[in-house]
Amino acid sequence: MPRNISSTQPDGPLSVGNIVSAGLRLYRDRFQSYFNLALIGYLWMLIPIYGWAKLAAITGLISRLAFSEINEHPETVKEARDRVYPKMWSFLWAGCLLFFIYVGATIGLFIFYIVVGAIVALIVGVLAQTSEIVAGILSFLVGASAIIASIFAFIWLLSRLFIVELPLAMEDNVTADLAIGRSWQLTKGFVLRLQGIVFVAFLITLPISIVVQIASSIVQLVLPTLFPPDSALFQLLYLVLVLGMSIASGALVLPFWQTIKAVIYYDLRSRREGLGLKFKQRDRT
Amino acid sequence: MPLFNQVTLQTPESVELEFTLAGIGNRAYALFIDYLILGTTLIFALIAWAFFAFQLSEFLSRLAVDNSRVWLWMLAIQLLIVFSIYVGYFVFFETLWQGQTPGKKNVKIRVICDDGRPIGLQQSTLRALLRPFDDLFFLGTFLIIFTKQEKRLGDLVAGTIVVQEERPSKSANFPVSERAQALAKYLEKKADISRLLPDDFAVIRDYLQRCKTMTVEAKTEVSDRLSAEIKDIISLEKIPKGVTGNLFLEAVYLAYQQQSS
Repeated sequence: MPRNISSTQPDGPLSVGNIVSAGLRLYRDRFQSYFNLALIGYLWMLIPIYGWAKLAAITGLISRLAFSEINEHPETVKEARDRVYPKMWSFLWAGCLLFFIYVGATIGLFIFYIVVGAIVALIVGVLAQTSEIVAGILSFLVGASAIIASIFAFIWLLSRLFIVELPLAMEDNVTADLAIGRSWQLTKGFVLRLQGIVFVAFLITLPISIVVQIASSIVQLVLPTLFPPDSALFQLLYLVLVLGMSIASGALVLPFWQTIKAVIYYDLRSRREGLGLKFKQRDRT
Repeated sequence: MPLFNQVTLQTPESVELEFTLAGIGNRAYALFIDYLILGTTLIFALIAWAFFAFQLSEFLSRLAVDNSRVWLWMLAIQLLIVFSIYVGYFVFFETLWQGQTPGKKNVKIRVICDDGRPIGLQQSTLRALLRPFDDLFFLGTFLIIFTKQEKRLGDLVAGTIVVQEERPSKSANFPVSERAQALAKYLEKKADISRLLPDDFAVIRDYLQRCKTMTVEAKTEVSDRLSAEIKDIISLEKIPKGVTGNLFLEAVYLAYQQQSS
């Protein structure tokens, strides 16, 4: 019979499934602390700019706490906070830079689509006289492959920039732009694996989001029967409940992703930089 | 902090076996792959069913037989097909492949009995029959996440446990250069390789396996750091000129292997 449940440490690179399990396990064991941090972070979001910087720093803080556990140098929340909060504005700036990159990529995508559209128009124009079917098939193929290619390009970009907050939270003398460079460097060649991890993690968040969905539908169904829908009280309660629930569910899921990012960062650093490769201490005689 | 659950099983012969539990990530991943295959199979089976049902009803109407009740029969057959594929898929593979399905094989996990034996027809059938209840409201997911032995309903009833496959001891599968071989001979003469512990050797092996995916800077940094430490451990006076850290570690690896064989 199975008895003696014990636990082990990760030892070097991990498989896709193990990364997700490890992230979830870490979150489960530190639930109180990470969830509280995330909740505070989401409340900060209501205050523009300063609050956003705080939220960005808190996401980094959760990842830092998680990474320090995996790397066997656990830190208390206070220790980690003292290292992360001074960089608060760098976190916000990194977020802005990422936003600019994505806006730039979207503009690039638009230009790409315009060019593809022009090519399709050209195909139709040239071939329409000879054969409409060939023109139709050809323009469909060009259009479909352009869309698929652009989706892949976007996923690739998202993966390469997936762990920006980790170097910022963990490494000394790393600024926002250097952190983006670090994420870029570490994820090189691991886009597919990252996508596998994100997908499996997403599968596991499904139950949570479904439960939240059900809860909010119940609120939406029950509330009008208790209060007249036109009353101010109804409006207020509705707002508070819906807002409260979305903040709570956001705060529930955020640490999950931050711990998974921490495990990914650990895994990538052990693969790309040989993290953890050292000889055991011993008495040298 | 420990991140993976380990379990010690006792076989009927009182032998203790240690396993790492599969974990929710691996199990979700495996289930996804299995459902993908299962879904495709079901679609094909249903297409085949529709084809035959249609042919049959054509045939019967030509015979001018009252076929109003035939569709009920066909529906029953359809349900039977779906049920037997859904249950049969898991039972078939888990029995045939000793606790593995294509999905589980892919992510390297395996179902075994609580006493470490491979599972049989009985256990895999119980697991497969209870699977719909585990899928309902994601009961199984929550059970796996929150219980110590990561058992869903099917596991609890069948007395099974899902573990990670033992990783076969990593064999060396990296090319070793001729220069490293020459250097290994030199080391055997000039240094005391026997002072290297198996743990140290494991670190060198890990490095040589990982260095393929490492960045150039990290490779130089780590191999130089490890080489400097090894040099002291095996009391070598100094690393010969022009020998990179990487080459030195390869040579030490070879020398240790030759010495222990």
